Amino acid sequence: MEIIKNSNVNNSGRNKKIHINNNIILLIIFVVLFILFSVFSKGFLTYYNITTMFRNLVTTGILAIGLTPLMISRGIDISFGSTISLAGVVMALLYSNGVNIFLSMLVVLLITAFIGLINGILIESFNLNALIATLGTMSIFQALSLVFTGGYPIGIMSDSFYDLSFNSFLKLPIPVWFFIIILILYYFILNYTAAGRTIYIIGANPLAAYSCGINFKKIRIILYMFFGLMVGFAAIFTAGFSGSGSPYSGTYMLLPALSAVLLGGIGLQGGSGTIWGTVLGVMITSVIMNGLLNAGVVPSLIQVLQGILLIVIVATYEVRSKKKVAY
Amino acid sequence: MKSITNKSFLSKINPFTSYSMSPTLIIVYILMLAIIGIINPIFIHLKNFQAIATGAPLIGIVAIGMGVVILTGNVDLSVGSIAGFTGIIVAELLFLTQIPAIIAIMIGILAGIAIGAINGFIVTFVGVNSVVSTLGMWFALSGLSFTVAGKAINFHNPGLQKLGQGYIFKVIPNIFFIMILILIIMYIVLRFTQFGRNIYLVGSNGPSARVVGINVKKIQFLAFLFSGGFAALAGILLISQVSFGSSLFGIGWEFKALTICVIGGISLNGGRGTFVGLFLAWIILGSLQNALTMANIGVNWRDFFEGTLLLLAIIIDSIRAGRRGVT
Repeated sequence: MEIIKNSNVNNSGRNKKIHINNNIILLIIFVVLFILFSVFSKGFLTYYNITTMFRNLVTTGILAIGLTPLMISRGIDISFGSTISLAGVVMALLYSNGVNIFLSMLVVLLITAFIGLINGILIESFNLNALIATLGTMSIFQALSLVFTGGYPIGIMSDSFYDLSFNSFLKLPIPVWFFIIILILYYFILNYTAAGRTIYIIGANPLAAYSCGINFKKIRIILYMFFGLMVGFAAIFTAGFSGSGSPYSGTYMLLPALSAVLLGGIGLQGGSGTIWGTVLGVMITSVIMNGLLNAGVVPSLIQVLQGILLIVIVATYEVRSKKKVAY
Repeated sequence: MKSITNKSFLSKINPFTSYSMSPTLIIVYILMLAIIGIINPIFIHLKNFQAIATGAPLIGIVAIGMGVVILTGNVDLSVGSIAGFTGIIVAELLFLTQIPAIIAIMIGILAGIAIGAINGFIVTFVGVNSVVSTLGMWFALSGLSFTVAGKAINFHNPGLQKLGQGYIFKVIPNIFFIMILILIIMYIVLRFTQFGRNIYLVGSNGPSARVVGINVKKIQFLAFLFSGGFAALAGILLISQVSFGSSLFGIGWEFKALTICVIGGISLNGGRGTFVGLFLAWIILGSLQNALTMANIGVNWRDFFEGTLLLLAIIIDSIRAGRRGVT
């Protein structure tokens, strides 16, 4: 007990020092950005803007937190943007055809979880490159959501649906409560359970995991399914904030969520990274997007910066990891 | 005359046991001609082939460029946005100035090569995963196109128009001729030059190629120049067909090009596949598009169908790769 407590290793056997250093850097970056935007951008520190930023943060955050265990275990899923669009569209269609709003939400959650399951089964059974395979499913679901709507958003006129996204419980909006609960849940599972340790092992060295008797394919499929479930929740809140199901609602959520997870230290090669890193990554990307939007930057230019940011993040981590490797 | 190999005819056309995809593709195309020809006799008419040869060569050119990159083991997802962006640049140049069309075309292609160089630099010298970095470049360029060109850029250049809309011998469209020319040149380069052989070596086994003395990074970098340049050419040919440039051009091209490459036998693991297969896959997919359009199937259902084809192609490619023991 003494040895573990005094060493640089935490409960899950991972090196504490690197992650604490990384997270401190991210926290500093966030604080600096927040201060910069507050000082130089009028209207950034208003109640309206902060709540808007929080709404964005919640949806990106749910996606990023759901993506974290998946990417730690060396899986990835970039089809979630189109899945969100499809889910929103299906929910709107169901509701406008008379289905109870809560039943519609449940059906949508089942659908997105099922989509996650299908993604996982396809990728793991056929040993597909997850990036390319989910690229394929991304185009399929995007086309499907356009088929169902013809390109136009479908409004959802439901009071209880509005209440779900805009009401507050003890001064915090319900979506923020959901985000906090999910965060605590994922933090606990990843850091204090055997399941969480297994996820890290699968990502760090799949062959070693297999030798230990861990069926990493099956576990990854389950992680894909849970990610699908999180995508469903994100879709519900996205549709709730905009009041409609749009076939383009999820397209612009792909890059922020992916950048947030990569920024937080979850590499593409998996096996490392913490949930706090992801949260900090989400905070940083949300503050950047919101701050730029508030400063009057055109959305298309923000998209350019999102693309550049993604490349810069991955490049930075790549260069950093190269420096550490000794030949 | 006895056959050289002991393989039966059936095993040569079975995509899972044959060395090349080409026999399978030939059989598929013959079947397609037969089945669709019976349902809709216009399909086999010469005028219809002309129609296919007018619309499809653009994506064929993009696929040729992407094929070179995939052969070296990378992917370039930004080709669609490169085509759209360079089209906008050339349209803007021809709109604002009176420079000869040939100069504008060269500037456009150079721009495409430059973007390809950026892609290549990030992937080879920084070492970022090619899917993620070209994904970021795709979104960045797409956003840049929207920022630069709010609406369509009309221009009037009779020389360019003759290039895009003209015919050779009154029957063969110009762009079809260009594509076949590029295809033949690239095939000769890949099959009969050291550079082409190096591409296959780098793709099939990078570390071994480096041991033999091939500059792997240089080959991978040059491949991106090809994909960028050809994508730019396709974008320029598109605007020459319709005499205006738009930020909506090139959307979805990366998926179509990827489908053509993978169905054509160019394996996503790299180092496998020829442009003969690519040509056959291009014919099949172009004819499929044509048949679906004639059957009045909406563009969204067509995209859904193509997405499913992409997924199917990836799965077949993965099974073939598994059978020969890669990954």
